[in-house]
Amino acid sequence: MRQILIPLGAGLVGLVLGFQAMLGILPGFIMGKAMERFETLGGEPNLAGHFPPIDEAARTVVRPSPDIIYSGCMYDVSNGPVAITLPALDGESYVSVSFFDARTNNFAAFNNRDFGGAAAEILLHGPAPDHTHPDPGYADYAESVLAPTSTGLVLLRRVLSGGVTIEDADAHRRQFGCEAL
Amino acid sequence: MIIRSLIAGVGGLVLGAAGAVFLVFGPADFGGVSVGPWRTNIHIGSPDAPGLVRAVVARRGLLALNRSETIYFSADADSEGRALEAGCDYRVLFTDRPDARWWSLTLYAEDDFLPVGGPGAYSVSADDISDGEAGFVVSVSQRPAIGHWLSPENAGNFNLTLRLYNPAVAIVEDPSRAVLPVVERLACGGAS
Repeated sequence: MRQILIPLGAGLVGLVLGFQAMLGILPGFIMGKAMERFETLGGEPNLAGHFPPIDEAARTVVRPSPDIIYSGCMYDVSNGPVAITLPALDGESYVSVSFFDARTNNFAAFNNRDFGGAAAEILLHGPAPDHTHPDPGYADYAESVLAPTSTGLVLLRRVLSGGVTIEDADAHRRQFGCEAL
Repeated sequence: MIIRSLIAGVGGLVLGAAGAVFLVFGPADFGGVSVGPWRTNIHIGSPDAPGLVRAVVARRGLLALNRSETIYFSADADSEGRALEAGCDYRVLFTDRPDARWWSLTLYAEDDFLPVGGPGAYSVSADDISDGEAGFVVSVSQRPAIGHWLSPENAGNFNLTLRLYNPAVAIVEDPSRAVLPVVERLACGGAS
């Protein structure tokens, strides 16, 4: 009996461990692939990049919206904080910056309504205790956000609404900032 | 017995890992809320979901916003549960405007990207609806339609995604309370 039960138990333990381990690995793997693709499009750490308008050629991330133009930044706070700038936008139209950690979690998001339509500088800083508030001027920022992982992505979404032309929306989203301090 | 146990343990590890990959990359969904044919995952963007749900969301909702910012409802079947097919015509019947700051309805091919080689009629948004239109219809057909129109040309078994930007608080709290359109299949037989 033991000759059957012990291997059976080992198999079951292996099954559960393999299942849980793979579930733990996959989000980081999927995000890593997305960041690799972002790099192939010219993305650099802590530098804003701007994606072309979305059409059938956009095949970097599933379900891209053709009603939005996107900009992005691969953040890296391992050497210090990063300043993210949300461009000013009055009225009903929508612009947002959203923050994704290395395991795909959307750990923060802000849109133009959050700041009354004014431009906003957001301080993104690392998880190490000495990075909690590394900039003595952090209180001058509209928001201070703790990044759960030292690398990840910041994505700007500018909705093409209210009759805005692509050219005007493109000029607007290029005010998106991502800069290591 | 030690060798047999080792083999069984390693075999279990491999099988468990393969099972996880199958579930995450397979067609099944986990952690979702349904409203008619529309489905959303309340865990999109959330770090609090269980492991399997988080992994599925990482694949299907990559870089999607959390639900206070945007809720994504997706339909891959009509209101009678039949898979959406490029060779069929449909009507998407909105009885009212979606209750959100802004919204859009987008058609994706079965690979979850915009259809390639079609006329580019991918999306209808709040901007396309005039002030007088409380209820309205979006036609989905390969032949151009009068009014609001999406083309499923080259889309195979396509899906529709309704994005609600800054949705009403009641929908954020309980997405199942959203009033969403009926997806009605008309005729089939066109080329896909």
